[in-house]
Amino acid sequence: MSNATKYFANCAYQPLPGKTGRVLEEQRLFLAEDHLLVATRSINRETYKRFYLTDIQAITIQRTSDGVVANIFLGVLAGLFGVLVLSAVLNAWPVFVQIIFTVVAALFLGCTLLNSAFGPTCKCHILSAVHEEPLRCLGRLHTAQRVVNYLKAIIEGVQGTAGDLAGEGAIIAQRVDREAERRLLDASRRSEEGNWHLALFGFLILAAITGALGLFFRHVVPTGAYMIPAFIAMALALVAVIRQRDTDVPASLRTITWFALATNCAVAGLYLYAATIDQVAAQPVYAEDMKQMFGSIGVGFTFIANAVCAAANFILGPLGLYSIGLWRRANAIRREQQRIAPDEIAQP
Amino acid sequence: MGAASLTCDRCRTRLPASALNSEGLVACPGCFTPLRFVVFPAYYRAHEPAQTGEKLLVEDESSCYYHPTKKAVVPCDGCGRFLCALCDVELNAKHLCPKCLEAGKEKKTIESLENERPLHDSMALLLAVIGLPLVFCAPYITLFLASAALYISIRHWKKPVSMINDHRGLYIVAILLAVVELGLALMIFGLLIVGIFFNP
Repeated sequence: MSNATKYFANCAYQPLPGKTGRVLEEQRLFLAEDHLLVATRSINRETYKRFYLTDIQAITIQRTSDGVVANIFLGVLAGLFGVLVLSAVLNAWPVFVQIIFTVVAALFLGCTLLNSAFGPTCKCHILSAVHEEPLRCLGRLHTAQRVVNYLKAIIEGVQGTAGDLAGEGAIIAQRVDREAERRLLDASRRSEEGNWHLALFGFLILAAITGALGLFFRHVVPTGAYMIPAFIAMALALVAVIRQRDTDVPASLRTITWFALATNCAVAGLYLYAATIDQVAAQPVYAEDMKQMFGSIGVGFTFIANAVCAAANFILGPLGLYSIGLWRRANAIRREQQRIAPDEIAQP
Repeated sequence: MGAASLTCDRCRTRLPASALNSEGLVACPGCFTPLRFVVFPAYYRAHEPAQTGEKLLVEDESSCYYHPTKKAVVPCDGCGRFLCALCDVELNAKHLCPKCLEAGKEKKTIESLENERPLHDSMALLLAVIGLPLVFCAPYITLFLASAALYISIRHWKKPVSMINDHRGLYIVAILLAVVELGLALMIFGLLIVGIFFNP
């Protein structure tokens, strides 16, 4: 009697971690003595699918970006309501409005934090000889890894390991694509060229210079010359942050990119707040006259905001360029080493 | 199907052997999506050809009930009829004929063939829970919902509940809630009647 059999002698189904987050439908995975049960429960019905341990051919996990997208969406909503709370407090709006905005902002912030705490998302499938079933209950990477590691031991206890089959000579010969193997070894993490980062830091330096000029020459030309590279830098930072996920971009460069995005977004958000919500709340007539509204932003505020942003960009831009230089030099050395001894690297 | 299935879900690139059975996530060679493929020996195992049943060579040999020209190899554990290799279906260490298998599925006597169950206990609880906040604003609806919850609980008490939670806890909660709601609703109706007829 195997350990698994002894363990399950007294219980029919052992629940495994993970469940779907849907309100009206819940999927869970259960382990019985000889099979896996995928139970999907709705309000008045429960459906079952069984996968016998002897028939399971593979379990696959694939990381997805659903969690990141949800975090961005919820975070933006939390930020928007946070700005509204700030505005409500500063402009002494009615208390019940303040409470409502605070509750909604806290709700979105809580959802964002909860989503972050659950970790990255993934897609999980179970394969048998005749079909492939998505396991929606294993939607979080950590849970999926834990469950798959646990099931692997049990299924190998039933089926044996691939090594046993090799001994019996029953493995079907597989064509091993050597080029794909080499690419896989080279890219255990995706290789990123860093062109987006390069453009970002270039525009950051440009924004820093034009921003510094704007501090001394109060005219529409330097202001426009500052705004354009600043907005391009923000967009580039956003693209760079998305592209650097799961790549070989060094941690220092990632941090600099995140800082660049955060500082520029913060300054843009402050401008937006000062120019719109704050001014309109103070003088409702501004809502009808945008020119007057933007003109009403205090000189002191714009000076401080520009100075902070320019200083941050002056630091982050050159620092980022220096970091890219170091990284590219390291990559060049690595490629040179691979060119010298490709066969050694191709061997697992 | 096996070999064709072990492809990246996103770019359909076939994964090389070294990407299989890794401890952690590895990058797909085609689209660099982090993934992990755990492959078991069943994937590599060649499929055994299906049994079609051996033909009768001698007249005296027992033949299959469904195929008189084929040799019987095992009796059905359900009805006792002789079965050839083609008709023999092995399920949970039992040999069954196709008719017993079908009957077992229809009558739900073979649990491992059951792929759906109605959850009367959840339904009863849901009705009772919906009825609870309506006691004070719409007691006549509560009266109806609580009665329905009570009826469902009693009517289906003996039927099997969920396969994974084999207990009647939800029924008990639903009955208790329904009784409380009925009591409250009747009390409110009583007070209303007293108020209407006996108020000066």
